[in-house]
Amino acid sequence: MSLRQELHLLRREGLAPWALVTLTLLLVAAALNGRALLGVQARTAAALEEEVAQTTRALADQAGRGVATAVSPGVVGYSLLSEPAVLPTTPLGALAIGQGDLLPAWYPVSARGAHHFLARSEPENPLRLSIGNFDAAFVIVWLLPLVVIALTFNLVSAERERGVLAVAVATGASATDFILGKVAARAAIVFGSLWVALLAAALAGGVPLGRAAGALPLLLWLLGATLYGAFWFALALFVNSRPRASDQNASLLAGAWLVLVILLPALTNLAATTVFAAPSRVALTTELREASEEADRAAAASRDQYFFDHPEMQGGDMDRTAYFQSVAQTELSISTAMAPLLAQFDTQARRQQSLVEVLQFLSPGTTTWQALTALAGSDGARQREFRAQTLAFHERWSGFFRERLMRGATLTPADYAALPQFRFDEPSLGRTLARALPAVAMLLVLSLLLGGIAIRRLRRFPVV
Amino acid sequence: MIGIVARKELRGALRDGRVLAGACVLLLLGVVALASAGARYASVSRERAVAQALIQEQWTQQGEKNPHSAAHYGIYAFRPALPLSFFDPGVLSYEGVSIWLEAHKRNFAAGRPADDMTALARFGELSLGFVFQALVPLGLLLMAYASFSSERESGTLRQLLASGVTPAQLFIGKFLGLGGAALLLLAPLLVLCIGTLLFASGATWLPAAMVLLLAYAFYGALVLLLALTVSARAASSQTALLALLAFWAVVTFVVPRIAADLGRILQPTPTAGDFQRGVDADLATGLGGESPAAMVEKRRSQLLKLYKVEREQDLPINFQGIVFGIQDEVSNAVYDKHFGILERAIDAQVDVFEAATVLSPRMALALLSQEVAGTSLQHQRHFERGAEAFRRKLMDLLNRDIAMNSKSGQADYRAGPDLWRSTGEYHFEPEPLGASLARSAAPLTVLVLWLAVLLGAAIVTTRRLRVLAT
Repeated sequence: MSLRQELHLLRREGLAPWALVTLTLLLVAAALNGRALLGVQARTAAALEEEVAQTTRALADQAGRGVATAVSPGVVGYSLLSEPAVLPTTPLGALAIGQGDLLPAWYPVSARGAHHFLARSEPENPLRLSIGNFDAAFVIVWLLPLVVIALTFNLVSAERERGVLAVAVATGASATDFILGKVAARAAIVFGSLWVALLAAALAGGVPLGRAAGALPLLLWLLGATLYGAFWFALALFVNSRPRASDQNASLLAGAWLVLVILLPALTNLAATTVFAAPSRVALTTELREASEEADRAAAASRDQYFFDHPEMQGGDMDRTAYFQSVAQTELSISTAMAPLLAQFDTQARRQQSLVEVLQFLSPGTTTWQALTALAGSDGARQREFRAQTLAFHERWSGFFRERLMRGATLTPADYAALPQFRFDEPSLGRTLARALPAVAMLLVLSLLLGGIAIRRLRRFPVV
Repeated sequence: MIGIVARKELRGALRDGRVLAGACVLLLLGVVALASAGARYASVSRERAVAQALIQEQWTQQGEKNPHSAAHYGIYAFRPALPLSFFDPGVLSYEGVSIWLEAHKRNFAAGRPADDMTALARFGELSLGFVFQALVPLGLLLMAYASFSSERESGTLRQLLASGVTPAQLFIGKFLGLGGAALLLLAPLLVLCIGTLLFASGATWLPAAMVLLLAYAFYGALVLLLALTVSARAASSQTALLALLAFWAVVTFVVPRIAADLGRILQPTPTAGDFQRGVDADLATGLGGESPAAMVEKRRSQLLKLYKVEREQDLPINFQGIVFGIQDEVSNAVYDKHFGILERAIDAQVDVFEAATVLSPRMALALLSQEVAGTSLQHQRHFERGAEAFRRKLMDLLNRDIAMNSKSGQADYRAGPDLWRSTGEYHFEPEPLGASLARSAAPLTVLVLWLAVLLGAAIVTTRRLRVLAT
C-alpha cells in the first residue's frame, strides 16, 4: 500500500482534521496564555522604568535648585532611589513560561545591601505555581507523545489481528514497506499539523518572525518538537516490531510515556536537589540577623566615637552625611558577612544545573523541555545570568553613591545624568541556539537507532 | 457467587507477572518518595525549631534599647513542618517559610523552597501524594481495563453468565477482587507510611492520616468503578484502554493546568509593584477619610484636654508611644485592605480551580488531601494570620511601654530584658482537622457526585451487558 493510499484512508477516517484541530487549539491556547503572562511582565517593567525615570528627573531638578535631600548621596542612594534591574522578555517567551512566573523578572537595586532585594518575589497563587503552566512547551513535551501513541500503538498489531498484513504480503507487497507506509502517512499528518499549529501558536504568542532573534530559535523549536515527535514514532514502531496484542502495545507505550515524561524528570530534580541541596534559607535568616546586629553595634560605637571626637559636627548637613556614612558602613559590613553565604546558593544552583545537564540524557522528555525553555530564555540558566548581572550592577550602583558619600561630595544634575544604567546583556544568539543541540543530537540518534532496530525486526516479522 | 468471582479475580491479579512488576515499581517509587520526604521533614522541622529558639534568644538578649528600636529590629516567625507534609507537600514548596515581624509593616512570607530547586521541579515533584493521586490510579486502570472486554473477546463471558452468575454479581465480584488485590499490593507502602507518621509525631496526626486513607481509598474505588464500567461497555479491550488512558492523562495533567491558568487570566493577582503602590498611597492618606496626621492631632488635643495641660511635655505619658500606636492602627488597616485584595484574587482563582474539579476528580482529591495534610493554601494563611496577630500584639505592647514608662521628648528612654521577656514567644498552632474538613465541602461533594454518576453508569452498563464481541 502506498503512502498516498494510506493517507487517503486516514483522510476518510477524518484523522488529519482531528490531529490538526486538536494540536492547533492546544498550542494556540497555550501560546495566548504565555503571551498574557508576558504582557503583565512587560507592562510591569515599563511602569517601573517610567516611575524611576520620573523620580530621577524630579531629583535632578531639585539637586539643581540645591534641595538638601536631593543633593545628599546618602539620602538618595540609601533611602529615595532604587533602579529596577529588569530581565527583558524574549521573542519566544510566550511559548515556554518555564521559571518565568516563579523567579523575579526584576530587582529593585538600591545602594543598600543586595540581601534586601535578592529574596523578592511576586505575590502569587501557590496552588497555581505548584500545578505548573499550560504553555506550548507543555503541549509538546507532554501531550504530543500521547497524540503519536494514540495514532500508532496498533500500527502493526491491528493489521496482524485483522489479517490484513498476511493478505498484503500474499499479494506481493513487502511487510516492511507496508508498515513504513502507514508510519509515514501518520507522521505526515502529525508533523504537518504540528508545523501549522506551531506557526499559528508563534503568531498568537507574538513571536517576531521577521527578526533573526525570533525566526532562528523558532526554527530550532520546530526542529526540536519534530525530532521529539519522531522519537515517539520510532519508539511506537519499535514496540510494534514485536508480535504483541494492540492493548499490550498501548500499555507499554503509556508506561514509556509515564517513565520518560513524568518520572525521570521528577527523579532528576530529586537527585539534583538532594545531592546538591541548597543551603538553608532559615539559617540564612538567622545569620543575616546576627550580621545586622553585629554591624549595628559596631556602627553605633563608631558613631558615638565620631561625635565624641567631633562635637562641632552634630546637627545640620554634616549630621546627615555622618549618619549615612555610618549607614553605608553598616550595609557594607553586612554585605561582606553575607556575601559568602549568598554565593553558596549560586554555587549549589550551578552544581544542580550541571548534574541536570548530565542526567537529562536519561529522558528525551527532559532534554526536549530543557532545549525548548532554553530557546525561549525561560530556563534557570538565563535567570542565574540575570541574577549575576544584577549583582554586578549593584556593585556599580552602590559604589556610585558610597564613593560620593564617603568623600563628602554632593549630587549635581550631572551626577544624575551619569547614574549607572542596567541593561541585561543577553547571551549571544549563537550561544542560545547551541543550547538546543544536545536535545537535537540525542533525539536524532535515538530516533534513528530505535527506528533502525524496529525495521530490522520487522523484516523477520511473523505476519499472522 | 460474588465471593467466588472476587477470589478468582484476586488470585488472577496476584499471579499476573505484569501486575506484580507494576506494583514493585510503585512500591519502589513510593519508598524513594517516602525516604526523601521523610529525611527532608526531619531536617526541616529540627532546623526551624532551632531557628525559632535562636531568634527568641536574640530577641531577649538584644540588650537595652528604646522599645521602638526593638520594634524595628523585630522578630521572625517560622512555619514549623507538619508531619503529614511528608505524604503530601501540597503547596509548601511555593510558600515562604518565615515572616519578619517588624514595626509598621506586614511582610510577605519569604524563602520559598521552590526558588532553590531546578527548573525540572515544574514537571511536578515526586511525592507520595503524587504516587497515590496519579500512579496508583494508572495501575488500577491497567489492572481493570480488560476485565470484561477480554472475557467477552475470548467468549468466557458468555459461559460465565450461562453458569448462573448475574452481570451485577460479576461486576461486584470483579470490583472486590481487583480492589482487594490493589490493597494487598499497596499494604506494605501504607504500613510504612503510617509507621513513619507514628515514629515522627506519635498518634496526634493519626485521625488525619485515617481520613487521608479513606479519601484515597474512595478515589481508588472511583477509578476502579470507572475502569470496570468502561471495560464492560467498550467494543474491545483496546478501545477501553485508550479511553481510560486518555481520561487519566486529561484529568491528572491537562485539566489542572488549564484550570489553574484560566483562573489567573480571569482574575490576575496584583503585581508586587501594584501592591506596594496601593499600600503607600493608603498609608499617606489613611483609610476612612481621616489622614494619619489629623488622627494624631485629634488624639493630642483629646489627651491635653483630659489631663488638663497645655503642652505635650506636661502629659504624664510619652505621646510618641501614642503616635506609634496610631501609625500602627493606620498601617494595620491598610495592610488588611491590601492583603484582603490579594487573598480575594487568589480565592477567585481557586474558585475556578474548584469548579474544574467537576471535570477532574483527581483535582478534588488533591485539594482534599492538601487540606487534611495541613499543606494547603489555607493552612499557610492560618500561619500568616497567626504571625500577624502576634506582630500586632507585640507592637502594641512596645508602644504602650513607651507611652506609659517614659515622658514626651525623652529620647534616651531604654527598656531592658524584662520587657523583651514579657512579650512572650511566637508559637504556631496547627488548625484542627475539623476546620480542614469544613473547608473541603466542595471537593468532597464533587467526589460524591462522581461516585453517584459512576454508580449510575455501572448499573446501566451491567443491566445491558453485551455478551458477544462485535
